[in-house]
Amino acid sequence: MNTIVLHFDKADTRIAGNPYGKEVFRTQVKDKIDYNDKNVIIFPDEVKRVASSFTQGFFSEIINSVGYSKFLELVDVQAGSEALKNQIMEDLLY
Amino acid sequence: MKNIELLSKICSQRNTRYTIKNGTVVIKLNMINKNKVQGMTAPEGLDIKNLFTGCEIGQIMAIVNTVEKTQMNTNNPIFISLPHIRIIDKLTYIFLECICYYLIERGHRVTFQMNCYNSIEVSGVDSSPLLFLTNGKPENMKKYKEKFSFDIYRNHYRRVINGDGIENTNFLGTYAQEIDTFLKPFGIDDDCRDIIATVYTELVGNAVEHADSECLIDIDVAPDYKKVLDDGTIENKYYYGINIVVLNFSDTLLGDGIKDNILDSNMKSKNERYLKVITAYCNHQKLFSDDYSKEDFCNVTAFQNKISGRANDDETGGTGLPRLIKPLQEMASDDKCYVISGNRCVNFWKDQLTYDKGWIGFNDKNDYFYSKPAPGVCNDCLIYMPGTAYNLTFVMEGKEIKNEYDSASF
Repeated sequence: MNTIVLHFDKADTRIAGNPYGKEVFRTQVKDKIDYNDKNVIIFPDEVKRVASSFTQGFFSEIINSVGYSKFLELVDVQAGSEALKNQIMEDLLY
Repeated sequence: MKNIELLSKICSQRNTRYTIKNGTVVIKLNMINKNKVQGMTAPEGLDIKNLFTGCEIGQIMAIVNTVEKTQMNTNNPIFISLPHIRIIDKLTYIFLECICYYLIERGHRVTFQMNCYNSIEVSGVDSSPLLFLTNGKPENMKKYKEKFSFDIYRNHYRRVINGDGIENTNFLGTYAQEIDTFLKPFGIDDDCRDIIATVYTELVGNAVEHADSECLIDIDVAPDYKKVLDDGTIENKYYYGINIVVLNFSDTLLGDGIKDNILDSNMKSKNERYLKVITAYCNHQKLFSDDYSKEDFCNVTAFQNKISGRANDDETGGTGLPRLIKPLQEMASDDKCYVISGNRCVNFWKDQLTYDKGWIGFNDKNDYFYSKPAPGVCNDCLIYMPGTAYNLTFVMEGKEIKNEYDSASF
């Protein structure tokens, strides 16, 4: 299992924006992701809300590479609460 | 504000009569004839006495355009007088603010005097930067522009947001947090505040990304209203209004991304959802009429889940705004939500905002693929909107709100 912990400014309790999502992926995830393993992406506890625009930008490269069907085999998300985790996945997959 | 010059497109007429008195262009309410501007009439079925709508905005802009054309670079002072009017909604007085901003940017000294009947959805006019223009003092023109661009005070939140150079940062998240903080003192519950902040991020993100423009967002909270019932008595409940306008001026309209990158594109997209849009379009072409056009199809398609209209064929992208505002409408006892772009309007009616597997039909069948939106959902706009403008008003039943500002005694 490959664990990737995301880092944001401590004051950022909400994160939003498609281009910002792509930027965070590019700078914090792109070189670390293992397409042959399960990757757990961890959002810090300080982040309370993740806008769908961020989620969609952040995961766009993975989705474009492997499609939605393979995505769940490749990626799991951990966040400060189960509700936030579910919201992130729902914004992406449904 | 970026692209404010596009405001002149609101009305194409440039040959309207106007009055000059001692070098000042005078625009008075009694000069605005509802039927004079070609193609514009007051909304049907409404009591139009003193009513101030997009019709009147178009009329004023027709005069402004004529002045600009005939007076060239003279920069005459402008005096606008609008006594005893009933402004139909928040977006309408925001347009008045934009007109004054436009005039000041072009070097005019503006005096603006208005007296309007109070209502829950236009109570924000009491915090409007227009108040700086009542005496027309030159030094107030700069103050007006400053307050037009930024104001957070008591019940009023205003920002003109420019994403240039900061697109790859969390500026949207930061402002969303600011809005959440602004709304807290009014007793608005967590879920409601959360949705409003999310609506903001979606709309502003769209404007700065797709339309390459600045975005004006204005929120006012109107607390402690009571309803006058049909028999004239006052209901023993408190209501508060949450009034939101989000607008941007741009040559890019709401449905342009759909039209240019999906329907008319020579690119053979492999995006499964984009292919479904093309299928839907083929079905809808048979339904086009005077009341429902390709432009309307593109506008409602812009609100489908995972349809962003981006040219880069991303599989992700695009979140349905109706999915966000419907919960607010469910919480509200009344609401008025719509978007205007170009010549067309999309009304967000609560009963037609149900998604079916990520697709929304804006009709009773919840069918996007084979059925057009319900009658009246897509409509003519009273003006031409160069860009996109949302009016979102929610009237919530609540307890009497004692906000932090009122609790202090001086």
